[in-house]
Order: sequence, then structure tokens, then C-alpha cells
Amino acid sequence: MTGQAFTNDEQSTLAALVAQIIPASETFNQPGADDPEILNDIVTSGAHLRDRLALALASLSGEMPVNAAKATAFRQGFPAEADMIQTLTAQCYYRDARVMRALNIEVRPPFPKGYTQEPNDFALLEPVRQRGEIYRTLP
Amino acid sequence: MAHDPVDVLIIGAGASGAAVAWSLADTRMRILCLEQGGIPDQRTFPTTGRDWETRRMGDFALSPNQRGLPEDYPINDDSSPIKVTNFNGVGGGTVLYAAHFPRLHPSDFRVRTLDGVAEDWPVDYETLEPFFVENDSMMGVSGLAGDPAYPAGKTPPMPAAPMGRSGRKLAEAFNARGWHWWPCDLAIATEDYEGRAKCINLGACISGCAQGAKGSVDLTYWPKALRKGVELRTHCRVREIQVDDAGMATGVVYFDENGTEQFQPAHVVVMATNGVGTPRLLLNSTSKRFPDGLANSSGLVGKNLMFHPYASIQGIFDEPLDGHNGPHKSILSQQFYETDPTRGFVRGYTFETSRGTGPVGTALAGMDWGHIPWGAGHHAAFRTLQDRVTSLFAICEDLPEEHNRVTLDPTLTDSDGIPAPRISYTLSENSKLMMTHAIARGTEVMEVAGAKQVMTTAPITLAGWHLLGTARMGTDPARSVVNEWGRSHDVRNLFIVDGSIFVTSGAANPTSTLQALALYIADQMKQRLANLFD
Repeated sequence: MTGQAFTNDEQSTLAALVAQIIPASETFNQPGADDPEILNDIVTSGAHLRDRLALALASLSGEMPVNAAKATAFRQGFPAEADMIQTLTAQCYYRDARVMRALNIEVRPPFPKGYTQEPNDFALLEPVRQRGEIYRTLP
Repeated sequence: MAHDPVDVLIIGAGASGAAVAWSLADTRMRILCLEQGGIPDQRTFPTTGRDWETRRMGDFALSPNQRGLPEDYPINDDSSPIKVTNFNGVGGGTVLYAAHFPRLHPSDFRVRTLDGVAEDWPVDYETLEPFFVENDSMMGVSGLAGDPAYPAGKTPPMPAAPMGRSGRKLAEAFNARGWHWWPCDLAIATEDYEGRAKCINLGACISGCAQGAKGSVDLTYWPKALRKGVELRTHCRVREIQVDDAGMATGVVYFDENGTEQFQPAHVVVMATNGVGTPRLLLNSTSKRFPDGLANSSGLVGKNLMFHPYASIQGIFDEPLDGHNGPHKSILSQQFYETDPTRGFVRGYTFETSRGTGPVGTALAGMDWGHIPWGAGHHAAFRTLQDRVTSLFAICEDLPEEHNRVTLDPTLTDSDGIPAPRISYTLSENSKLMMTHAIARGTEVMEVAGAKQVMTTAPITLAGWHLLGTARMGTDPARSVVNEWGRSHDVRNLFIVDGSIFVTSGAANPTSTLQALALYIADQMKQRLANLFD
């Protein structure tokens, strides 16, 4: 289900624009940001931004399809709105399970499993120790 | 509703308020703490979900203006290149801090004597040392003894957290330059400790630790303080401290969780509301006797605001490092901490490492830097940054200047109608020179470490973590707001224990020193109970 805040026209425009930000890649086996699941996340998660984006999106509605040149012009004409859309797109794209798998990221939240780290090697500190105290003594 | 008077009323349940509450509970006095926020619930922290990076830009954002939760108050920081970050709730800033826990140096307490700038503190490192030790134990600090940047005897109770690949790489570079480095003291449990589970490297310390390994005071001091009988009343926002005709505090007016105005009488009031919240409350507490704000006969309430200007040096490497996995901080360098006149500025800075980011952070940073394009090149470019970026931050000492200040905004208010704080702040020439030096030295480290590209930023905008100096301590009532043991010069039953009493900022994250100072003040109060108001 898509969010209700964006109109159908706005969703179409948004889909065309986010596909220019992150297109699908056969090389890396990754969907584009206009993939239906990811787009749904974008539309739903970004519903609170709709009013701030509506005017900018309307500027593109007569420009379909959106190509790279039009996307660049959009960034120049509406930098604040383009930044919002870029942020929203990255937030939703990089939590998609298919994208995470393609990037060799485990598809899970950090908690509760956590991550492992290599043990420390404090032999590296030997030259620091040999140089001795560096704090300033008081008169 | 009429409340019974309490012996001690503490305002604010953050780092210093919690420490004072726990310490004063030894007296068996009736102690109440009022906190404007609630108790954090680790089960809802961002790292419990795959949207954890997104929530750091929403309900767990560092800026109260961005977060905009009911317990937050707005801050007009339009006139400052550094924006305030905080957390309003039980635990205060420790809920969202990185838990880097260095102490100030002995020299920090004697800057006028040593360097002819600012003022000396009325206390010194030696006086605070037993309270540093006590606080390290209470907060559960990990680290490694023997750091030559400090006097002997600093022995963290737990082993150091993992340096990781990024920490090791930068440590080798510091060695190559012949410069100091050392594993960070962190208020992070590296072993199961006092009921806290050990760190599992979630890598999102600054959006709350779902594991509970990080020493935030809702998990360290508060459970013990509550068991000792301290009462904690949440979602209570104090509007003003009231005084009687004799100039003694009588209690506070606050709004409870329903927005209903209440008066809580108290024999002693302790402020623990940080370097912005404290001057805001004092300036809002006007009366016939104190028309310019409470405890403000010196005119210094709100003045001398110090942040730590941060410079960022980020390196891009060919090989994978840690990404976000692990505590944010791993090693520090205090090679440039102490004054060296040949550098062209006084005082100095600490370098702290900061690991990397998750995929969302990587993508956004890469697009901001122009490294990751829109379009077909996006995916390949992303892979050149994924887990391959690490950072040095320089925490620069900020010297006190009266024009850097907190005042009351003439129009902006919080949801209870209480005037909001306004920040006026400019970077000093000394700070600018220091950041320039730090960027040059940090870039050297990154290049020696093998970074193929280095990006720098100074100051970091959203880095107003450390809010210091706006009600400073001192022996001269004309030059300070509280005395050498935290009592207001003007109001003899009013104490301040938060970062606003710092005389200078040092060049280290302040929580360790701030809490040691709070414990010291509580100890002084306990020793003087028979004549506390003389």
C-alpha cells in the first residue's frame, strides 16, 4: 500500500526522479530506487514531507520522462527539495533487503546480535611509552 | 496541589544531577529530582530496527530543534556557527553521547597562571582525583592504564574497547609521525559490569545503546540513587526558582506531565540543567530582589559560553575498515593538547578517532562530497566508500569570551510558554588558528595512514555537545556565579553542578570532569551540612 499524502501524479514524478538518483543495476544485481517496494517505502516514509515537496514535484510533472539532464536541472532549481528527496531515497534504498544482500550487509538490525571486532594489539604503544610523559607539570 | 517541602530539590536528571542525587542520598535527607523528560526505553532504541540510521535524523536526532519532541525545548541558535545538541530525559546527554571519557588535564585548571588567558579554576586536578576515580567506577569506564598524557594513577576498571582496523591504522600513522596516541577511556562496559551487559559493537552509541553497555546515568547512577530513596519525578519542566525576601530559594514552579502548574517547596535547590538550560532558568527567575535573573549580581549568568569547536578530518581508504561496527571512539591523541607558543595559538586540542558509518550515512556523505553521483555511476562509487572511510575529530579548547552567551529569546517559547534560550556565539581567532593547525596535522596522519583522499570540515556545525561556562565558579563574586564548592554567591541555598560552572573548557570531552566536579560539590555539601548556608 502506498502512502496517501502524495497524489498519484506526484508518486509517478517521484518514481521517475528517484530512478535517476539510484537506477537499477544489472552489473551489481541491485534494484533501482523506483522498485515498487522501495518506492512504497519512500512514499510512505516521506509522507510528512509531501507539502514541502509538492511545488517542486509539480515543476517536473510536465517533463516526464525525467532524464539525467532534467534531474540535474531539478537539483539546481530546487536544491533544498532535491536534498530532501536524496536523503529520503538513501534512507529507504539502503535498508532494502535485496540491496543489503547485494552489498554483503547482513539483513538485520544491529541489535541484538551485534558485531565482532579484532582483539587489540597494544605492542603498538611501545614507542608512545618510551617517549614518556607529555602532560604539562604545574609550577 | 500543595507539595510537602523536600530537603534537596535537584533540577535535571542528567550526568551531574544523577551523580549529586546518588551522593547526597547518603545523608538520608529527602531528595527529589525534577526532570522534564521521561525514562528512556532501550527496547525502542534505533538499533533494534533496520531503520536505525533514519531514526538518527528523526526522533533520535541530536538537535532538539530537529527532534522536536514534547520534552524538548527550542533553542534559537541562528546566531551561532555551532548548533546545540542535547537529550532531554533521564540520563540527559549521556543517553546520546559517544561515551568518550577523558579527564581534563592538571594544566586546564591553571590557564591564567600558565598561559595568561581566561581564569584559573578555584579547584584543581589533585582535589578532583578521588572523585574521578569514584566516578569511573560508577560509570563503568574501560581503557588502559599508563597514558603518559596524564599523571600516574589513572586506572580504568575495565579493559579497553577494541581499536578495530581503523584505530589500528591511525595508531600506526601516529607512531610514524612520533606522536602520542592511546586507547580511549570510554564509559562503555567491555565486560559484564554492575548489571550492565558488555558491549557488542552495535556501532550506534550516539543514538542510544540498546545493549545497555554504554554508561548513561539512567543505567548507572539512577538505579542506585533510587534504591537509596531519592525520588525522581519525570515530565516536570521547571519554569522558575522562587526566592523569599531574604534572598533564599524557597522552591520551584514547574509544569507537571499534564501541563498543570505546581509549586515544589525546597530547603536547598541544586541546578543540573546544562550550560544552556541553567542560564535559561536563572534568567527566567526574576524577582524584585533579582530583576536581572537569579544569582546574577556579577552579570555573568549566560556569558562566557564555551563549546568545543570541532574540526573533522575524514580519510577514504582503499581497503575495508570497520564501517560503523564498534564503539564510535577507539583511540585519541593528545600530542597537541598543551600550549606550545610556536604554534601561534594558546592551549590545544585532542584528536579522537571516529569509526565509519552505515550504508545510509555512507551514501549521504558520498553524495554530499560529490563522490557518489546520481545515476549510473552510483553503485560503483558507493562501493569505493563502503566501510572505507574513517575520521579524526579535533576537539579544540574554547576560551571564555563574554560576548558568547545565552540570553532569553524575546518571542520563542517552549510548549509550556517558557521563554526559550537564544545563543550568540562567534569563533575566536585563537579557535580558528587551532582548527587550521588541527586540520593540517590530521591530514598528515590520514595521508601517512594511506588515505587516498582527505576531506576536512571546520567547524562541524552540529557539534554543540559540550555546553560550558555560563555560570562559572570562582572565589570572587564579581567574576563568578558560584563559589569554589558550587554554591551561588547570591543565594546561599542554591547550588549549580552542571557544565555551566566550568571556568575553562579544556580540550577534552567534559562528562568525566563534570561528574567528578558534581561529586566533589556533593561531598562539600555533606561536610558542611551543619553550616551549609553560612
